[in-house]
Amino acid sequence: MALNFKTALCSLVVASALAACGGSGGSSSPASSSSGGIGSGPPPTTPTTTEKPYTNLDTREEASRFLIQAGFGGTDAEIDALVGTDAADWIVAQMNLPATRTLPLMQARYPAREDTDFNHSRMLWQTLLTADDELRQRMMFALSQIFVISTDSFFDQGYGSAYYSDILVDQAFGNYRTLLEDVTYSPAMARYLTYYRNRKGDPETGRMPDENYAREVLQLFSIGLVELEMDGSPKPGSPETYDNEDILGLARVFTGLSGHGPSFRWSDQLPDYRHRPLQVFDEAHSQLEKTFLGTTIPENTPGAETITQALDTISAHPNVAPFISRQLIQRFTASSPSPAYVRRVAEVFESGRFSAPNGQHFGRGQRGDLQAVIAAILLDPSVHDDVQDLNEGKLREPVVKFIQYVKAFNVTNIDVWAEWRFYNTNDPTSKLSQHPFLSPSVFNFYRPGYIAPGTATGDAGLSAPELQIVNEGSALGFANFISHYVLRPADDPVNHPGFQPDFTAEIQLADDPDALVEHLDVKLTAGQLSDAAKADIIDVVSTLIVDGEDADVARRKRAQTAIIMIMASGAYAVQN
Amino acid sequence: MAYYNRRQFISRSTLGFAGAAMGLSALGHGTAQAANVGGYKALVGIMLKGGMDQNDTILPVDTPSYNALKAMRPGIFGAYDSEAETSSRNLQNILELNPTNAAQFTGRRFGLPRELSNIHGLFESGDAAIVGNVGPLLEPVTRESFQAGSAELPKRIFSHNDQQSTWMALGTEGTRLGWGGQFADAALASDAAANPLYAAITATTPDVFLAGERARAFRVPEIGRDVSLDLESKRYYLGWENDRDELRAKMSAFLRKNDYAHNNLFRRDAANMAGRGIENQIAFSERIASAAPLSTVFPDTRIGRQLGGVAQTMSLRTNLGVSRQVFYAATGGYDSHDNQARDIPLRHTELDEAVEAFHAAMIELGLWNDVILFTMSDFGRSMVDNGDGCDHGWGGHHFVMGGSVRGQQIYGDIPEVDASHPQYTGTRARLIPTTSVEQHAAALGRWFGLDAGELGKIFPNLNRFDRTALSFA
Repeated sequence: MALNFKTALCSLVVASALAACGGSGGSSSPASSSSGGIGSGPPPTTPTTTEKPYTNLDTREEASRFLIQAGFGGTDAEIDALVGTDAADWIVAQMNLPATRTLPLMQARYPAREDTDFNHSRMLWQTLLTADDELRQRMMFALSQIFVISTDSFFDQGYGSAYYSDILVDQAFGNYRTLLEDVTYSPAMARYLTYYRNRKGDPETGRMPDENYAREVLQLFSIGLVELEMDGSPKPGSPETYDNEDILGLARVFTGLSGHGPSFRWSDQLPDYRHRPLQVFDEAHSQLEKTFLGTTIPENTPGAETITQALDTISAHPNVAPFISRQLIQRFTASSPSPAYVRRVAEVFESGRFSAPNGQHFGRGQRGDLQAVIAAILLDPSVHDDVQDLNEGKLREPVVKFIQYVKAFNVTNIDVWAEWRFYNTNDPTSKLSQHPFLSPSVFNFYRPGYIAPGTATGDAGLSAPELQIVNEGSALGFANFISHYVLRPADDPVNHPGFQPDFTAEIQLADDPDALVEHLDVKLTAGQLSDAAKADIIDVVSTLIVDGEDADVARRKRAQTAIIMIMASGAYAVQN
Repeated sequence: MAYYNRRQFISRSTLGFAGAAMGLSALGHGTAQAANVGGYKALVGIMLKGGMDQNDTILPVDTPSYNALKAMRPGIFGAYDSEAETSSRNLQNILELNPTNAAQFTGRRFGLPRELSNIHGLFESGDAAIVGNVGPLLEPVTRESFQAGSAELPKRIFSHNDQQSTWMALGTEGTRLGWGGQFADAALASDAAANPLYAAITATTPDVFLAGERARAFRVPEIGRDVSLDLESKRYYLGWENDRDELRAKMSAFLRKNDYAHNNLFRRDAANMAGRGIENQIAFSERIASAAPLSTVFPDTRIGRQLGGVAQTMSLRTNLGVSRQVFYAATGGYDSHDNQARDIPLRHTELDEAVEAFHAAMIELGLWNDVILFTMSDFGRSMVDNGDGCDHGWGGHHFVMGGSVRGQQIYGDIPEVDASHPQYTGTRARLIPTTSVEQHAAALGRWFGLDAGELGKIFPNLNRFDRTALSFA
């Protein structure tokens, strides 16, 4: 089949524009570049053969693998539907889905008052478990682990954290610079990193501006601590990107921001300030000169203009592309991405365009286009090649594992408010060691550079962030958590009416343990269980005697047993 | 105000500690080539994540210093309503410390906020000491050398994650060996009979502190947490039918083993950790269940439950087959950029109550003389405030506590409350450490039983500092 070059039909700039493209997406709804049209982008790969591009999902294993990497895995039907299609088309279809935002959901559920962040963190769980716009939600979750807020830090701002997560939803396929600005002006981030109502210095009392955001916006949200090559590795000698003088200068920038209203006075904030952008009040904004990262913003520059210039300066730093690209790769496809992979994605970050092997175009050509970046991550050759490399793959995050369980078995009757376990799933001893928007600090659940002591990956110098929460201390908790949900709702629906799974397909295969395990292996691990593990699981499943009037119970038990064992296996722990 | 230069300071402090320092020869400066592992000893590190504000922990109580601090932190003292009679930061309500080396401070006096009343009691009774102005250093640094850029500095000072790592492992994030783990390694090397599994114990996350070449952090549950594999212990999970016992046994074996060959390194690690974790967690929990419970009640706080888990583990020491253990606990919430007056007293109270319970548990177990509990933190904080909080600093003050601590003393230094003092950075009055983490940790290591050779390997810059300055144990 010849590669399919599509013409530009509509602009894919932001979420609303995507949705406005209409159509169901898929292979008949091409993505495109914007203003300049297709000719302004880099030329697509010239087709030299009639073979399908490497992004074509030829088998059920490949389809399952891609859904695990890009979304939350697939049901049998979703996997079947994807076989023979191109991964790029799935991405386009996902980008065209309407965005699921949590602020309207919060307002509907808690109309009388704003309610708490904790309820918003439950709303996030509910959304992640049920929303159809999986790629966008996964991107939201990924971005929430770079632009971190943690909702256990403020107790009365459920609308505020909803507004914040919606920024991540809206900019999931938007632009980095816009995202950085929206984050900076969000009341939730301002509260979390303490620049909310941060006042200019006072020479009389000696008071100085709060340095918190100045420091973390550089260290965590944009450029990091050392100068990077485009492939994400430190430049020779690891020169530091900024010093304390830069922080002093930049701290002056983030002054004078408060909830919107007629004045800086606390009492003047309008009631809906928590879900509207912050406002800069020049009377509280430092009028001093601000010098940082080699830029000087002259004294008496108005606050809004100052922040614009500062964010422009930060965003323009050459570190941003490799720094952000590497972390996004880590959240989707590789715990320790190769330098070449980081470079490929970082170059797309710079150009703002990506052309898929099947001719789909992503991005509108502006630096930091996240639509292009995510497509480049998910369509990279290393993601679609044979499963062999010792160093490839991503340790799955516990939250994503559980979502996959829910999606894979069409789990229904999902109401996390009715489940005490979902109040906080962070506990490693009995739950998942992870809860959306509930990391211990702005440093997320784990660090992108974490190298686990005493491990094979550590000996090989590979970063393995997820091992900071997926480890000896959390293995038992995960096994117990997943066992509960695989077993109890199906076994005892009267007492456990929530989270009802559909094991119909598995029960039908249960009389043939080999077929059952084979089927689950494709669905859950993309066919990557080792033969030895499969043999042992088949052996365990076979101990259950399917006979007599309890035969149906035993069949279900066989399915449940196999699911638990696969989800506890080493093969499942890593998507590759 | 007159300042001592560094040379004068060292000679003074060395003189001041001469008596104590003489005791050091018995603790590992001799010719022994290996760690002393006689008896039982345990180190318990508490990481106070976020950067504990030393200025709001060791408070000045002589009037000039108190007023100077208040003048530099009008926002924070205002938020404490420090002039109110009942305010914890009212000078009258600060618990004065009476260090035996008070003379070193020429009239300057110190106290603890009342939220730290138990730690204050331990200090006064000689069971706790303060190590002042300690932080990561590669060589001695002054403001002059700092500002001139001539001093060799630790990397990424002021960065949370990197300074946590530097405190615990002498290098920025990604450093692979922590000194706690290396202490455990040294003890294991000298004690062939010791069980390496239980040499390094965390009651929280597996941070780098406990990472050794052999020693790995073993996570123990917080006190009161009963862990088991539900598939085994909840019989209704898999059922009562005749075939179910075999199923239970086989599933359990599968989950505890997880040792399938994996070419992929991430899979290999994940599988090993899962199998080992489940097997060891259950085995440990069974040991706890079979042992006599502690009668000491620990506070139901994050740090309280963790120190309870530590004490519970120590109660099993004979059963676990170890004579040297390094423990790690951690609690967050110290990054007081704002709301300091609301948050820090809560953090202090939690710490103080947990320490007191731990003290009681050690008395109960007869181990108080065999443990040293010590605090660590990312960094200290700026003395100049930002309205209602303060910002990242460098040097900070820390506690060491235990029956064998030469307590009621302030080791190291607590520089004057004066931003122009040469031990502060030029802006925001951030302390430049006068005692290095390596010195501090080496003193703990000597007590733990490591000899000079072992300490020299772990702490490469130790010889750049006065090796006798710290003699708190």
